[in-house]
Amino acid sequence: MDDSDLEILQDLIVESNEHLSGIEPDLLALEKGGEQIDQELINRVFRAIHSIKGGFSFLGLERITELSHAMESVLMRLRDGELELNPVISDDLLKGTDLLQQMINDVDGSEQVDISVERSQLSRHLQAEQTDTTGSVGKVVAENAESQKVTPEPSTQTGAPQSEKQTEVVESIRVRVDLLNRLMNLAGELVLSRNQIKQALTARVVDSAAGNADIKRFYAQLRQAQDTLLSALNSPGSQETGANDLSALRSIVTNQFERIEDSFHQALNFPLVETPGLSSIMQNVDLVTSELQGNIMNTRMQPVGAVFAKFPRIIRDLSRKMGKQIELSLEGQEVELDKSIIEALADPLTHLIRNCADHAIEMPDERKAAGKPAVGRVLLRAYHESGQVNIEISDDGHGMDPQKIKGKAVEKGVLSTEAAERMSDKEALALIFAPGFSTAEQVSDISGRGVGMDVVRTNITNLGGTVDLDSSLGQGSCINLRLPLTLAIIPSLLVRTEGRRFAVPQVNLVEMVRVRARDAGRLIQTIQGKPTLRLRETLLPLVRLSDVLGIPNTYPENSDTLAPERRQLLGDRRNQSSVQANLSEEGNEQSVQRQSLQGRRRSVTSAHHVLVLKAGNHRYGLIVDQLLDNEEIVVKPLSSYLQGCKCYAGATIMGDGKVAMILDAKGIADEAGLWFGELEQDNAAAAADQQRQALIEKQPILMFRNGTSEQFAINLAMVARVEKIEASQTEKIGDREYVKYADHSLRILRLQDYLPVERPAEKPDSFFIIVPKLVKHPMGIVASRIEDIIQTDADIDRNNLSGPGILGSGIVDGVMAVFVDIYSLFSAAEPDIYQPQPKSSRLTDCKVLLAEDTAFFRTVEEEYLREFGCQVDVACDGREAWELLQQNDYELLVTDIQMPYMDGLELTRRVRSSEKHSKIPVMAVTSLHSDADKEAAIDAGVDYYELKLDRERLRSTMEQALGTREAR
Amino acid sequence: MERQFTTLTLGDAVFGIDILMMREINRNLDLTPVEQAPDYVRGLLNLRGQIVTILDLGARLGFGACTITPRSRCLVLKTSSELAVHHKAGLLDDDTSDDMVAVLVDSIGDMVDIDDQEIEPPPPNICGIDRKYLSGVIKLENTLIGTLKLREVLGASQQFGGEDWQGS
Repeated sequence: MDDSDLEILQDLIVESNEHLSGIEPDLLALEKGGEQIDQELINRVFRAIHSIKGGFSFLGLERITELSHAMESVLMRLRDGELELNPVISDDLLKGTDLLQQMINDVDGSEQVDISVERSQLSRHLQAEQTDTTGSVGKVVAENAESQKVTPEPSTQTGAPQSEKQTEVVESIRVRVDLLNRLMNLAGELVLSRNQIKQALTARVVDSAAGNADIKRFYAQLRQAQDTLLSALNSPGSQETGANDLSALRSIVTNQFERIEDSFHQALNFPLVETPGLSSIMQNVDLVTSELQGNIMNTRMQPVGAVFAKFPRIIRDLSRKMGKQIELSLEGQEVELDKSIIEALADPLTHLIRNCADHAIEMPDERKAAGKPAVGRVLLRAYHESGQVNIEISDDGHGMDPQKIKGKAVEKGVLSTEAAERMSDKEALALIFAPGFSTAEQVSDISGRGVGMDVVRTNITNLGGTVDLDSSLGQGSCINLRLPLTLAIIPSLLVRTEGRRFAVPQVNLVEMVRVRARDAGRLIQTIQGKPTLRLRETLLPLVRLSDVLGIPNTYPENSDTLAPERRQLLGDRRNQSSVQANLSEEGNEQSVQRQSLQGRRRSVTSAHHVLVLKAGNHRYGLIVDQLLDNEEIVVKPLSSYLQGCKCYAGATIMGDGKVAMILDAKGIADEAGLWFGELEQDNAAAAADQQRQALIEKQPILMFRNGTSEQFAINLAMVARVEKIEASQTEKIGDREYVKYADHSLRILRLQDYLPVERPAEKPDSFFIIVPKLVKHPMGIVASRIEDIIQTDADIDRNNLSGPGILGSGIVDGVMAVFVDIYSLFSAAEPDIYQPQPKSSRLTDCKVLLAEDTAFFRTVEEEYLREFGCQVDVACDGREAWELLQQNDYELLVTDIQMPYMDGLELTRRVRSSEKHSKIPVMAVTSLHSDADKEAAIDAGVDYYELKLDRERLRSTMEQALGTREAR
Repeated sequence: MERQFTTLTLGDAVFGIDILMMREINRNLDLTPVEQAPDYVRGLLNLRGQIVTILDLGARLGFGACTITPRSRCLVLKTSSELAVHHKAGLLDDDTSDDMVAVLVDSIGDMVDIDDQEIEPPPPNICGIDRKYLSGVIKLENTLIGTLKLREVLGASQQFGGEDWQGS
């Protein structure tokens, strides 16, 4: 075969594949249509087979020609109504299609394929005429010429539908994938180059500014030198030398210095500003680059229907084989995903669809007995949601029984009986993703081939997606896959270790933990010689990145910071440097430099930065020196020389043009020889992770200043409004200040009068007042400047900073902020109104259990409860609360709804159904405020339902709750 | 047939690489080292948006790793697929790697033009390196230039028993 033939063959294969992919759905649709043959459909199938036959016979590939000829003959008789379509015929046609596909995929080997079975099966349907295969070639070529005129209709999945109306035709050409990949790469490069230009530009501006400062300093020194020299020359001791020489010398010195001075002035005045217009050009480049990249990315996008298309056939074959009746509906076939994701999705989806047909949908009589329609429904749906694609596979089968799954796990010895009891339903369902766990009673040849849901999950995770499972017994299951749109550019976190930068894909990153030096002794423990981090419920194996990679530790203190004694010292140093920070505030340039140097050192030595990574079902902590930025990176594969380095997933080029390695979470775990705990623990952790991800409640925080360097914070949920006030609007009565506002006056508070904070140097002409809500008697808090509103999940540290009016301190966006406690601030300002509760309150010494997972709310609510006089025990989630309930008696349970491990609803249900606690009043304090949430809570057995942070309501409801209890 | 060689030095030894296989000579040595890589992989380099694997030619040929000096250079090679044209035309019987690679050398010397006929087969022992790495020897007045057989020099297979290295 010469070159031109090869080219024709390539085109023919591509074209035939398009035809083939269209034949199958058309045949299935024909079969569904029953007796009434849709002429258009049958014609389309006929034409498709016909052009395949024509093409291949032209190239002399006889087996393909023979088979397609046989299929064509059957189709022709169907078209002409001489034959009636029945399941046997469509079976044979479908088999023929499969074989054709197989032969076309391997054209070279197609002549050796045995097609006799398929051919004879097809010819059964043709009583009269026998197929004439050998002599057909010449005829077919002629037919082929004709068939070119009858434009083969493109299949539904590919390209733009070609309709009769010319105006609607979208022109398209075929582009090779490797060309697209190359374009994609180049676009990635363009993005990088753009970033580099941006960086270079800013560096230049900074450079020139720094240069200026240097020149100024040098100039000052020069002046000083001149003065010293001149005064030395003028001093009496030097008079001994000749007076003439001396005055000559003096004038030389003066002249020379003046010249130097002049050139310095010139240098200083030299315009070191940005080239005019550059920034707007840069903006343009920025825009075009992003758009170009987006568009090129789009060329790689394919509709997900390409994968969906094969499922009707699978469902049809399976249901016929098993005697079930299943109807598959497809939705959202037009949703597009990156080609590589589409390809990788085929296997996991096939597995899930087979699972539905095999396990989930019951036999027809079983369904009827359960009061369901005999036909089981499976819905495969794709849709966009927040920048990701969701694929949902839902069925109305018998659903999954968490008890049965637990039982199975216990039976297999992977789960202890106690652990099974503690496990929530959701966690139990997550067990099916565990390796080797199959719920099928018997291994069937359809889906129980030892490949389980764990493979599905691994595949999806590798694509950067997640799998979620929901099931209700008797009603069906729903599996939700969330996938990124593309793989070529991934979000990642940049970290630094020993001066080297690495990128960690966000997909692998569960959370980042900063272990402060003084907590390290408590949280980091060595178990069997291996460092382990105590993270909430679980113990996390720790690995130091530099150790795994074998980079020598350059900071000697670092190598054994895991030993507790050492850390004391490091803690001390940290305090010193914060003192230094205060000093430097006063504006000495040098000390600022030193402080930032110290700051950098501090971040290396005084805290451990732990990245919690997940590798498959496992999690571990990776210690790095420094966390840098989040960045979108272009992944470049590694060369064959580096295939042996399993710690890397690839490499990428950073904004400054240097190459950084991308870390592979699993490879590092393997390399470090991490021993992972039992299935049980891992799955619990994995399930909790998923929940936790969804549950992290970020707090909106209002950040403000009070005319000093101190940063203050108030939870936005407690702020009614912020007003700008002119100093002239205020009035002073006694030692109290008021501001006229609308038709009433509002008292205003200055923080420095009540809190141990710095006093602002002057009272400004205008300022802001922050008016809180959820208080009995509002007062305005004075702020010189409103900084920002920030979403944060910062912990509040109450040890560092405390006192009336202060909740504690927290790090928000890298800055330490003082969290203001409105209630105690107000009670300090207005003791009459905000007096501490009467001594004899019903709440005094009342034993209360508080369950709340978010650190911020936990701190605030615990504080409230203590102020009410209660004895409070605190649990970080429902499970912990349940355990405390087993050990102690409480008069009242105050619980959040959304919590990991066990949520507030399940906790309440357990409380209600237990003998010991069924009577305890349960109060839900939550940020969910829809009626449905409230209803669900009350259904579960909650007595009272309050929103978070409203202290007064909390108190009155608690009093009410305890009162009722006494009445019971 | 006339052939052109770029000469390079490793210590005292001089070697030649057919310029048909060369992409460019680079003096940017801002490498990113890769831990756990074979010892002859010196690191990765960004060459206008493409990542190049830098192999230490000294380490590869058994001379010991190159010390980086102001004269050190990276010879960036063409990829195997880029050489297909030369192979087809019968201009070249050696081959490079499928990956973008460069070799780190101590310095770059002159170009040498020489007729095919004047290249002698490598003697059993030259400069103490394995004969398989050489395709021949060019004898000049006062130097011997070993012409490198890059197919062998770049072959990754021996090092960690991977799949067979594919020449074309």
